[in-house]
Amino acid sequence: MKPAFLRSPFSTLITLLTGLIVLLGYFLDFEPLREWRFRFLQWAILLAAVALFLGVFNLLRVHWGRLSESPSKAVYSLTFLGGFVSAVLMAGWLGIQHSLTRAVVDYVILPIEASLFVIILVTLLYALTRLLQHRLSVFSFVFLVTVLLSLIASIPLLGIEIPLLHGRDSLFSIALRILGTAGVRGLLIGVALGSVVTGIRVLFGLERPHGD
Amino acid sequence: MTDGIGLLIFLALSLLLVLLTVMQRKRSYTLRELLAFQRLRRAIGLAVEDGKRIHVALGRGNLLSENFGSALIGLGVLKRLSSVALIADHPPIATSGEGGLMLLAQTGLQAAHQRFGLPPQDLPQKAQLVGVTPLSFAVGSGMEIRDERVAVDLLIGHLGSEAALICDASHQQGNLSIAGSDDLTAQAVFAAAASHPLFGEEAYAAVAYMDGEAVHRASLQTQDLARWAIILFLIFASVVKLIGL
Repeated sequence: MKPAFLRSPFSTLITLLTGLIVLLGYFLDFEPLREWRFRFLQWAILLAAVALFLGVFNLLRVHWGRLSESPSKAVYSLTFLGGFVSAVLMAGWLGIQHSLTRAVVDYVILPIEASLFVIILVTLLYALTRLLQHRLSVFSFVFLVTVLLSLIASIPLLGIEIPLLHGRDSLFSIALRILGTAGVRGLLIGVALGSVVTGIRVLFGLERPHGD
Repeated sequence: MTDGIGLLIFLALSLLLVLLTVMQRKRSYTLRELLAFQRLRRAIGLAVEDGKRIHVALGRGNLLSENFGSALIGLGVLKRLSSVALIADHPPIATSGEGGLMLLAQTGLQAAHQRFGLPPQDLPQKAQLVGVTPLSFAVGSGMEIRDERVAVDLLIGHLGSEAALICDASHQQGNLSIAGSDDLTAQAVFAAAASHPLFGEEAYAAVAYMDGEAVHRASLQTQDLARWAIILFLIFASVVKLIGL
């Protein structure tokens, strides 16, 4: 297969030029480069805003189409469309600072989001039990023990302090700080290298993940 | 010059990548086996045979942020999956939490259709923005998993703790879930909730494991060499500090 820069040279050239200007504008203290970098970023922010608008329009279109499908799907879509229209009308007509708009945020949206966070917690507990049942290995055992010890170490136990577990200078806390920091750094180095190399591939037209 | 070292690292990595790509064309770099990708290859075949779909959750990485790299990997995976799944006329579906990502996913699917000489149909349904907040994205993705006869869920992109809801929806349908992210909270969630979690740089290797093109194998080799350089530098710096130089 031909490399991306041979399949679509024009778009690759635009990517390369804009990408390099933005990158060099970041690294080098040279006024024209910085000015162009700033201008390109402004354009990109505008494009991202347009993309968000198109995304919401796409979502409305999909749910509108689902109204004619099975009743079980139509109920959700109707709820979504009703909620969207009333939220837009309310915020547009009354303004986002109006007490009614604030009430919708405080008494509808925030409680729903809070309940979803609780569901995440329950889901994670359930996932941990699944881990014990189906994927018991050295890794999952260490993971589980660390989770349990971290939970016990971070919550008060009716005023009881377990010597090696509780307190900032306890053995567990020191071990977690050293091993945890080392692990986090290792993962972040991997992520950073992966991101940079992916960026280089796209920038130089070696790959177009979104196209032919 | 504000950040000469950063520019130097970028140039060195670029040069290394180009050199290794040329070398890869002559002699292929052997990849270590990752169970997640072995299972994925098998699951794709089974899904295509059963007439089921593959779902890719691209996350909510913003086009202008540093976490868009993992979303690019998700898009690359979607592109490769489209090529396989379109043979059986069951294109994959993609969900995202960012408008730009949705447009790129639709462009990718459209390009895959054109490659096979097929008219792109129902693109708005196949690549959707399902929610603009983390939780609405997770709930929307969960609904797509339940409604679209999905067999495999790939979560590759910038996600957070809300990914637990997507993994749970996947588990409830009896699907295989393979998940990787640039976010450490998401990686911790995946460790418990996904069938096959990908840690650190493993998510960035997904495309190389799926198509084996020279440039992707060279990318992995570049990352490996850079990682060794960092390890040696850390050890050297620690020793220098220890002896008080």
